[in-house]
Parts: sequence; structure tokens; C-alpha cells
Amino acid sequence: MRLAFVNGAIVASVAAILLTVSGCAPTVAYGVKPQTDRLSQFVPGQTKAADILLSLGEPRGKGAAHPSPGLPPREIWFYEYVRSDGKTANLDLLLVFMNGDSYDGHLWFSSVDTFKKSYNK
Amino acid sequence: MKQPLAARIGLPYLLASSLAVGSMAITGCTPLQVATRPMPSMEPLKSDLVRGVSTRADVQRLLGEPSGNGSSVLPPDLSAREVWFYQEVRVEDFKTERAGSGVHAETYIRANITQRILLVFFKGELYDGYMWYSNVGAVEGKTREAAPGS
Repeated sequence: MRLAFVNGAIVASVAAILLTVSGCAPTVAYGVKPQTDRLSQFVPGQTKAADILLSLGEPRGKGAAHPSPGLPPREIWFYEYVRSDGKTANLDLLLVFMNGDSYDGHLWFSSVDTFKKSYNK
Repeated sequence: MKQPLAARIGLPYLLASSLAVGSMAITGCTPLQVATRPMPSMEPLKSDLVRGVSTRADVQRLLGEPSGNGSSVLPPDLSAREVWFYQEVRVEDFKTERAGSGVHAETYIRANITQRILLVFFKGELYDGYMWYSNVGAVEGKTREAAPGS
């Protein structure tokens, strides 16, 4: 379940790279940089969906996860920001886990990858 | 029937951005390959790194510097973990094909993509597990020449 979300974002970043490098195009960017510094304010079981919306804004997508057989499935809120200038790609990805109306965890990372191109001589 | 890349992955902004580029000399600058640095060997994950024992320094020594990091708080235990992110991406076998002319000219781009992703988790200073996966696939996109004066 986590894989599908992470992979979706990675494919999207590669798509941005493809458009920038293959077209010698300028920067391509989409999404909104997740405010991950605000995650420390969230308390599992106490922070409500309305608080998260106020703090992080509307997610770009939603999904579900079943992280443990002993737990009911969790809803996932998906946030991402991708920017590529054809040489580097920045990816910021945040998954927020919701248990009903309450915050129940998250996974985020931010990365910068440099791309090297090789051409026909 | 295959849809354009932007439509298939639901990212119309990508196509809009590429359209905004205007006249792009795609044929002249299409690379053979675009790639990040290679993924580190996965062997240390199987043989050297021990959950709850190995340190960040061990991971960095055996896997190298990550290209990103973050954190997680995941059910059921809801413990905070640091996340290191490693990625290898190779985009190759670029093919471009022009169709139409003038303001109706379009260029189709196709390429093959190989991706490998590794997330390494730390609890405090100690290594606490990993997740990796890879995939191979093809992508395609389309760009249009900008209309004169646009």
C-alpha cells in the first residue's frame, strides 16, 4: 500500500524529468511543498482531520492502507511536490495516515537527485 | 489505445508546462540516456546490517550517502523513525517522432524507465529496517509547437 503511493510519486517525478530533459525545456514543477515542519504538532488519536486540513491544506490524493492485521484499514492523505530543471529533480512526498477522523501517523521524505545525460557522438 | 503520458498519470500540468515551453528543438537534443547515480548494493541489508544494532554510520559506510531523508510515524507502534531515501532512475531508449506541421506540429517522446527505490528506517541512532522495490516501464509524452506570437 505504501509502495503504490510512493511509486506513483516517483513515476510522476520521472515524467517531469522526461519532459525537461527530452525537450531541453526549462523547469517543470507541480504540487505544493508539504509543510512537514508542522507534523510535530500532530498527536495520534487527538489531532482531527480539520486540524490537518488547516495546517497542511487539501491533499492531492487519497487512498488506504492496512498496516497490521489487528487494526482496521487507515485512510491515506497524499501530498507531494516535484520540481525538475532537467539536471536535478527535487521530490517532497508526504503520506498522512488517518484513523477515521483522527491523525494516525505519517511518512515523508525529501530528496534531490542529479541526472547525468549521455548523448550520441 | 495508449494515452499521452500526462493523461495517463493524471498530471495535466506537466503537459501544460511542456506546451508553455514553446518551440522546442527536441530532435537535436534528445539524450541517449538520463540517469542518477547507481543504487548502492543491497547485500549489506541481507548480511551486514542488523536491526537494532547497526548505526547510522554503519549504514552510511555500507550504502553511501542517501539522496534524501525524512521521518515516519506509522501504525501500529507509532514510534518516530528517521527515513533515508535512496533512488536510482535510468531513462533511456529515447525515441521522438514528429507529426503534423506548422502550428499543428507535435512531437511524441517515448522512453524506457528503470527505477529502484530504497527506504532505510532508523529508530533513534540505530538501523530499524528497510523497504525497497524496483520497476521497469515505458513512458510517453507529447509536445506541441507554439503558435507564432504566442
